[in-house]
This record gives sequence, structure tokens and C-alpha cells, in this order.
Amino acid sequence: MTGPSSSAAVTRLVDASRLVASGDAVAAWAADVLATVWAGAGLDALYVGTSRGGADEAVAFWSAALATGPALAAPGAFPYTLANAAAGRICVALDVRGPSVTLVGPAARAHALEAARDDVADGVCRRALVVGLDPDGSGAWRLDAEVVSAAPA
Amino acid sequence: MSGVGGAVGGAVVTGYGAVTALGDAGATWDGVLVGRCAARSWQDLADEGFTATTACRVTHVPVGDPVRRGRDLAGRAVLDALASAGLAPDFAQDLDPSRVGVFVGTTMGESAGFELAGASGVPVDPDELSGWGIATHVARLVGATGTTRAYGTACAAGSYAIGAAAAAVRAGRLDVAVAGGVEPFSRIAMTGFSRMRAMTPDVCRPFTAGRRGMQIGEGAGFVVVEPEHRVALRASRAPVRSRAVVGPLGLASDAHHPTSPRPDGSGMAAAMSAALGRGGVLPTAVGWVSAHGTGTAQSDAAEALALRSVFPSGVPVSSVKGAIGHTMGAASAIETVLAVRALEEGLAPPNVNGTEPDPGLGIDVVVRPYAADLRWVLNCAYAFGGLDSALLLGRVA
Repeated sequence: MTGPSSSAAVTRLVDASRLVASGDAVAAWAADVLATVWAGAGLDALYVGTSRGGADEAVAFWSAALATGPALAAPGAFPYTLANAAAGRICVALDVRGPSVTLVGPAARAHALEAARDDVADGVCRRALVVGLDPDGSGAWRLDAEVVSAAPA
Repeated sequence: MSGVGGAVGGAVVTGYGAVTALGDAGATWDGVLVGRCAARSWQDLADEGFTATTACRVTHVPVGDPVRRGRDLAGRAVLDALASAGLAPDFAQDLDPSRVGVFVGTTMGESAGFELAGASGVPVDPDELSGWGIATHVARLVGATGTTRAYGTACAAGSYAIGAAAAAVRAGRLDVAVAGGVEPFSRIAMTGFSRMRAMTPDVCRPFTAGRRGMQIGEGAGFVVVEPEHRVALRASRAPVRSRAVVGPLGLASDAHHPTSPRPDGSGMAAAMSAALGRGGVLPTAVGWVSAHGTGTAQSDAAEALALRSVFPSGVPVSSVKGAIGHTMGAASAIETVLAVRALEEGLAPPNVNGTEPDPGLGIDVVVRPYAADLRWVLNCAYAFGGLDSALLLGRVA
């Protein structure tokens, strides 16, 4: 019996300055990129690994709340203070109805891949999209994605 | 996957610990049984200009460094869990530490750190402030060097962590796992939920006609998960027993909206059905559902539809959020601790602040503790981003 197999990886970069700092810009960009490759691909699970997801939005949200006072803080950015905000957006774009798992930490992309492979092997899902989403250190956001399948991809 | 209660591959809870606004795991259980509500108004929040000033904050664990509050809460719950499992604090050093894993779920991690950065402009190290920082702290605390994972899965994160830990133990990837969720009090969450008009102006009343919203809490819940065969070996040398079987974690995604659940509850129902189906457990074998039950009109209504769909013959349901608030990333882990206690005691706890259920929901809300032959319990949790989870827990045969 063979284990789960992975598709070829897809990598995309976007200049962070092109992402309007509106909270959901990174999530929207990631969802759009992934939809151009995997829309309608029958994905039944999503595993996202991120170190920075939600962090900058959390800081910006609180900074703005202090400026206005908590009672007048703008609520729109609040959901994007969460690390799994991008996963939610990607699930909508790709109509993923199974597990949506977001792991955080410096090696979260690798952890997400491992979690996907374990869950495919355990029969939890059959065709999982694994996404790494973080700044690359040079002023760009980097997205890496691949599909882990029970059968050869 | 093997059967959840089978002799081979079964994962069981051997110890648990919790920190909530009602106290430790024992005090929380006792408080919930008598319908105690920990919510109170906080002067510091009023002074800072918050509209909502009522919350369920932990007072019996002193606030040291606010930026390490999550570590303090998690550490307290972990040490309690290890003690109840008959394990020393650094027990992993007596085993192969690479076979001991740590799984932690949280919504924001050390929220005070992000708040400090927002106030000061000092750059943040997200790996230090997120669940990863707390997970590595717990790993050092217990001496574990095996799999360490941090789940950023919002208000369902505790169940994600415990479910993944049990799967790793069942599959033989780990010998012992310490797993749970933690959430220190978050001014960011307090502000965000308040400004989204999701918070109650008084107390949280899940599943009642008069429910007006959620209430923020803080806390931590952790369990020790081991394979059944290891417990039998350990029992000859230490006071340890299997307290509950950890079954599959059912997961689903709404793929619908950043914050709102599918109104028909279909994603929630899919998660419940996934847990039951993979566990080979019929809905009629479930004796109690530990509901998400946030007390918001929309989420409670969707959850009720999901429950009616999966349990057409009815099932007793209650939520503890009226007692300890919504502890977000810790919530489902604390609720797992209480579910294990319910299985041990054969007692389903009541819906605190919810003694007059909304008849329009059409579900069987537990309004007072009742003794029941609990064989299986389903612990449900949902979250922003369309996350749906249901963790199956069973009585030890």
C-alpha cells in the first residue's frame, strides 16, 4: 500500500505594498490565486500553515481602537485578526466543505503538510490542499500550495 | 482507522486540568452543576472606555507579566492534568521525550502582546505571541521533544488540538500527548465582538428566547491522552486510570461567510455526522451534547437546526458558556474536560442561565443536572472562518 501523494507545488509572490491594508487583502489575494489553479478540483480539505497570519491585523486593529476608543472601533477588520481568516476565504473560493485546519508557528507550512498527509492516510479526507502563506522577508507575501491525495495526484 | 473503543489503537484521557473564572476543573464542574455564573462587571474596562464591561475573567491565577498570561493559564491547567494522570511535571524526561507530543489551540495567543504592540508601535514576533509560543512553553514544561503543534483555529481550536493528539496516539505516532486550549483575556476580542454587536449587555443565556449575545471569558483546559495499553502498564506502578475514550474529531467547513455560520446549520451537522460516522456510533447512542451554545441568536438557531438534523429523536443538550463565558480558543478544551467529568460521573450538567429554553429551537435543553447512562458524548465547537467541529468522547468500558 502506498501513502498519500503530493502534486507539484505552486508558488506565487505578491509585493506586500500592493495589498491594501484592509485586513482581508492577503486572504483575498490567496483565495484568488488558488481559485485560478484549483477551482472545481474536488478538494475536500484545506491545511494552511502561517506564522504571520492575523498578527499585523491584530496590531493594526488595536492601534486603531486606541485612537478612536474601544467603543468606536471599526469592527470590519476584527475577523482578520485571526490566523484562520485566510483559510475561511479560501474555503469559500474553492468550496471546500471538509476539514479546514490552520497551524501557526515558524514551521507551520511543514506542519500543515504533515497534518494533511496524516489525515489523508487516516481516511479523514481524500484530496487536501496544503497552503503556506507568509511574508518572505523581502517585502513580498509568498504563497506555496500543493495537493495531497489518497491516490496519485 | 480502528474502532474508537477497540483494544488496539484506542486513545484515552488519563488526566485533565482546567482554569476558568469559576476556578479549577473541580470548582468549574461544581459551579456549573449549581448554575453558578462567573460574569461580573470590571471597572478597568469601564475606565478604558469599553461599552461592554462584563466578562468572566480568572482571578485565582494572578496576572504576572500580561504578555505571558496565556503561558501562565496553560501551565496551571497542564500541571493539574499531569497530576490527575499520575505524572510528574517533567514526566517526558522519564520516557522517550521524542514520543511525547504537545498540541495547543488558541484564537489569538498572547493577546496582550499584540495590544502592547498596537499601543507602542514595537514590532511583534508572531511566533512568540501566537499559540506556537505557548505550545513550546508547554513542551519545555513537560520535557517533551516530540510533535509540537499550534492550532490557530479560533473558537474551535481546543477541540482541534485534542482531536489531533488523539489521532496521533491512536495511530501509534506518539506514546503520550498533552493537548488542550488556552485563551487569556483579550481586549482585542472584547472590542471586536462588542463592535460586531455580538455581546450580551448582561449575562449569556444560551438557547433561551431571551438570549442577547455572547460573553467573553478566559481560561485553559488540557488533557493527557495515552493509548489504552500504556495505561494498563502504568496502572501497576501509579494511580492512573482511563477516564474517557477519545473518539474521532469530525471537521467541516461552512465555505459560506467570514463570521456567520450557514443559517441551516448544515456545516455543523456535517461535523457531527463525521465524528459519529467515523466512530461507528449511532446518534441514538449519544447521551448528551456539549453544545457550542454561545448565546447569540444566529449561532444558537443554526446549531439547533443541526442538532435536529443529526438527532431526529432528540438528545439532551447544554452549554456551559452561561457559567464561564466564551473562552474562545480554550472553550472546547474546557468543555472536553467537563465532558470527561460528565462521563465519569454519569451526570449531564445544566445550561447555566438557560433554564427557560427557547421553544422555537425545538431541542431538548438540559435545565438541571440529571443522572444519565452516558455512553457517548459529543462536544461541539464552531468558529469564525466557517469552522465546524465535533469531538466524540466515550465512557471507558
